[in-house]
Amino acid sequence: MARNILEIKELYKSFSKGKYGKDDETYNLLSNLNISIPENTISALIGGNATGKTTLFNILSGFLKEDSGNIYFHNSKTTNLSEIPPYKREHLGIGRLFQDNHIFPTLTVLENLIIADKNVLKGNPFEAIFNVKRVKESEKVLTQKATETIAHLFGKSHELLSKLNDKASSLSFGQKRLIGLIRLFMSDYKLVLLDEPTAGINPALNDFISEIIKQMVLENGMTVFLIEHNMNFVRKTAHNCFFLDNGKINMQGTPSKVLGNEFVQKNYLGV
Amino acid sequence: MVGLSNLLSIGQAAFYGIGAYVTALALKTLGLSFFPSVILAIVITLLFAIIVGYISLKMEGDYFILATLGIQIIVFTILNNWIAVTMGPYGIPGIPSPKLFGYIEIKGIESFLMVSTAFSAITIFFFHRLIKSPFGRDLKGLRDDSISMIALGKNITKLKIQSFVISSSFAAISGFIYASYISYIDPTSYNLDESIFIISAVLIGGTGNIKGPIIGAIFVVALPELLRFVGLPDSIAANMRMIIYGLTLVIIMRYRSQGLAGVYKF
Repeated sequence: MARNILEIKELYKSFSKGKYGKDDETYNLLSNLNISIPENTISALIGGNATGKTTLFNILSGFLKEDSGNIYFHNSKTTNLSEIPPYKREHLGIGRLFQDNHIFPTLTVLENLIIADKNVLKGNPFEAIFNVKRVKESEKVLTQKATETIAHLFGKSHELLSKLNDKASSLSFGQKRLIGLIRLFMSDYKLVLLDEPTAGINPALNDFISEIIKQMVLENGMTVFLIEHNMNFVRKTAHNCFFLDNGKINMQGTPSKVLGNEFVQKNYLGV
Repeated sequence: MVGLSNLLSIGQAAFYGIGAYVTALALKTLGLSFFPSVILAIVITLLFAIIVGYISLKMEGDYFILATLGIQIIVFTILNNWIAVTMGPYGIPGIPSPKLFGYIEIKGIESFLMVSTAFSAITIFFFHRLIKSPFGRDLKGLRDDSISMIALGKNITKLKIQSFVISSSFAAISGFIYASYISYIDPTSYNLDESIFIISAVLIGGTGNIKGPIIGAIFVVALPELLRFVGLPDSIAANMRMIIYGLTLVIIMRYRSQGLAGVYKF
């Protein structure tokens, strides 16, 4: 049995009811939430709107602070994520695809990919001024990695390869989504959080994205934890499924088991 | 700073002023020559910028702008009231001309034209390299989407401080040139009006590249000279200049938010 890469224990998160509400007027969005994500698997988190799925991902990424509970990330060593600043969670090997396309519109397609590199020396302004040769060599390697990644994932004739020097703002929503996915291959991630990877994408591409996600696990050794509303996609892609309801995991197991459950069908799928 | 990292500061004259006052004290009181004076001006301004940046850059957007306004007011008040060092509103007169290597005196319009041109060339070279570098790319990323930058493992507070400190340090060079050329400085040259003048030049010319701020600076500096040919009385010309600056800013922000030659749209 695979070990767990992520363990969420007794997690609580509440919000104030209104912008000008009193402190004690809160509602519990996540309440005693417990999830364990096995390493090298694809796990899907499903649930109705406003049940706290994206809030949970924002807590995992560090953009929101939990009220209480523990989040353990098991890589070469175990880390309590609560104590780690958001940007350092990426250094631990946690990547993120946002629900709305968070790409850099004024950068080119290529720059949107190679910006994922976090070589500390290259981020030093004086390195940029005084060691141009080294920076150029490094950029060349990154460019090659980006083009090879696109070619490997989509084929050598994919249109993105001819748009590498175009501004990312000129891409379609679906193409921007693909850029977000490709960027996850540019770093050495252990766990990737995908918030609705098929949202806004041409349904014809769903199978394609499913294959890319499987590739993340099989070829790149990543663990995928995703939020998804497309149940066919979940059935085809995920190994595990978690149903979030009333702030906690109400049902978990294989996608067929969870999606076949009477309570899930009645309260979420509307069957 | 505003074009690459989206940090709009209205306190840039404060750093320009610190550079000028350190230069005045270095040349007049310490008797230092050209390079030690300019280096001291940069280092002191840089240290001040690190402290200020560390405090103010924890704030974002409008809060950061208001923090830089506070810095501007604090620095002006210190320059205006620390009589023992700055001579307060009387200013520091008789700043000696800097001497290159201790011997060659930089004096007169021609010499300062060469010095200004050399510093401008160095500044343009530096920022050209910086914009094209991975560091420049990170700053543009910060400008576009700070959340994504954090998700990509970038320390955005550090990036903002680096951007703020670099920008402030180059303001110190302007202060050095101004103080050593004019030979007299007083706090009114480094007040809020001056900061607004600087930011007007940047916004009119445009941000996100090198040529935008240069064109903006040419515009705001050349405008009063052009108005002289109109033959307006001095009292009207000064007010007319401010009206034209204001009107230009409104028109540019409404119809061409990237400025005359910039690339970044607000």
